[in-house]
Amino acid sequence: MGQAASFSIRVDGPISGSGDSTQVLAELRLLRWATDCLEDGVVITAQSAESGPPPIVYVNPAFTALSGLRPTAGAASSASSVSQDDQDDPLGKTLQESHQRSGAFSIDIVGEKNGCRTILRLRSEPIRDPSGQLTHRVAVVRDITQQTALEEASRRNERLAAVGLLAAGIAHEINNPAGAALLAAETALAIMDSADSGPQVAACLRNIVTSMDRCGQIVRTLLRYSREEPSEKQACSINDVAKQALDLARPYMERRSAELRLELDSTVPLTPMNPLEIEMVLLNLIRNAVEAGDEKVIVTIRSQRTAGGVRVAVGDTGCGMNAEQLAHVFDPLYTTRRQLGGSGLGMSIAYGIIREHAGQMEVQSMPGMGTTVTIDLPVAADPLGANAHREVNHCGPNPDCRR
Amino acid sequence: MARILIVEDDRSFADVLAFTLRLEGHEVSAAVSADEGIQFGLAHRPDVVIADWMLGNDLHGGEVCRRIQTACPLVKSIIMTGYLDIVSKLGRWSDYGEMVLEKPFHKEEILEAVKRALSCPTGP
Repeated sequence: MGQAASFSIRVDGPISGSGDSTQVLAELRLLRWATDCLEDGVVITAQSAESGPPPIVYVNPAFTALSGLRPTAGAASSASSVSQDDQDDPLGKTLQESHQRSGAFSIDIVGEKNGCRTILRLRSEPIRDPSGQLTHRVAVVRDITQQTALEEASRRNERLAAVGLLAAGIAHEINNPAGAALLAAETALAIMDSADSGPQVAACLRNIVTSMDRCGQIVRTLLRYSREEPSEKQACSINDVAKQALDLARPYMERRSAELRLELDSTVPLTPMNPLEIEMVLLNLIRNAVEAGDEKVIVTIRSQRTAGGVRVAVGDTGCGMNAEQLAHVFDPLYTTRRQLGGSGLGMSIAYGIIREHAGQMEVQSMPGMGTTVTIDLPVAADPLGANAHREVNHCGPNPDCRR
Repeated sequence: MARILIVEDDRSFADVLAFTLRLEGHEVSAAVSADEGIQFGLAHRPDVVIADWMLGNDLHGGEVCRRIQTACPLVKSIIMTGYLDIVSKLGRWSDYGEMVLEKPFHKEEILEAVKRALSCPTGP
């Protein structure tokens, strides 16, 4: 490579230009110097009329270091070829097979070097003469072993972090009913022998039953999500499901002094859905809506018939979201309430449920103008979920955009 | 016996805890939100506030205790959490409460915690 440093030349045009041969040669040397400097391996193999391994006409030093393959003396006429021995080597095999293809392709090749697993990423491009005839293939090979290991480690860490957060979220959900049941049981034991304690013991037992039932429900729901099983669907009215979600949310709304506006379209068609899951989605949206502001929040739940099914929207008059928050709204583990114990899983789970229903979910929000989440569910479910769609919109100053 | 305020948004848990503490002879009130807890705490100055860390709105239980204690330094506080990680990550729960109890806890643990909180020397 050192000899190239003595060249000083302007490269004005393509090698195939009409410059004199000295200049063309100088340009070629310069380009050769450039490919010799690359950390990626470069190999050019010739298309051969005969069947058998393709001749190697050029390799750069990096390719030889990666593969051990080299051409002899650098001239095409005396080039070595990818030998039969090389065919045991996955890289040699890929080079040979590449000549059976006409287009460009990219492939990751898993091999072994000094007893260690290596991953080479090979990108192969055809080279054609002016008539369009395939004459050579050039392959650029990069060792991505380390990069892949880092990516895998990072994915593993992310997964562990997600599991940790999920576990913490579950812990909170379960520890409340478990704690209530434990106290109730111990209190019942402490008073059961005293006279007239019957009603009090009964109250404790009722609390234990309710609490344990809650624990069971939480575990069942989580298991279902972790398996990512498609849930059973049945034809339901979105209005009925919305009312059930509201019944569950009402005590919380009252506690937070949230005001409810219900605008349900009585002509909505029955839609295939898992009512418990959709109820959970709506509950989550209602809870988010209620928590969207310090002041008394107005939560609007609206249903309507659409061309392909039903639409249900949960809107609030809370603080809204800025562009940054909106961009992350569906990201798992993203939350602005981390310190308060938010797991950031609510919206991503909700989105997963809607996707599994082949529906669409859209969030419109603007700081100071509240947030509206709109869900569209199709009457005829697309079993592959191919139409799943999500969108976030910053709405403009027109207040009607909250509709 | 002491006057105790429970601040807990899980009504079922609050009911059982109040029942357990009343059986021990304490006078117990319960608030289901941070705002309600702060208002009641400032108005009635209980001996002990037992607050859940996660109250599902903008203020956590530690902040509820801190605000009450800022105005009423004699009030003692106990934090409850089903999610000890949150508190330990902050590394400064002692700013908020005399002690932290991790849910689920035994009846004897909360009774002991109340006893200890009451016997704590008064802060600065």
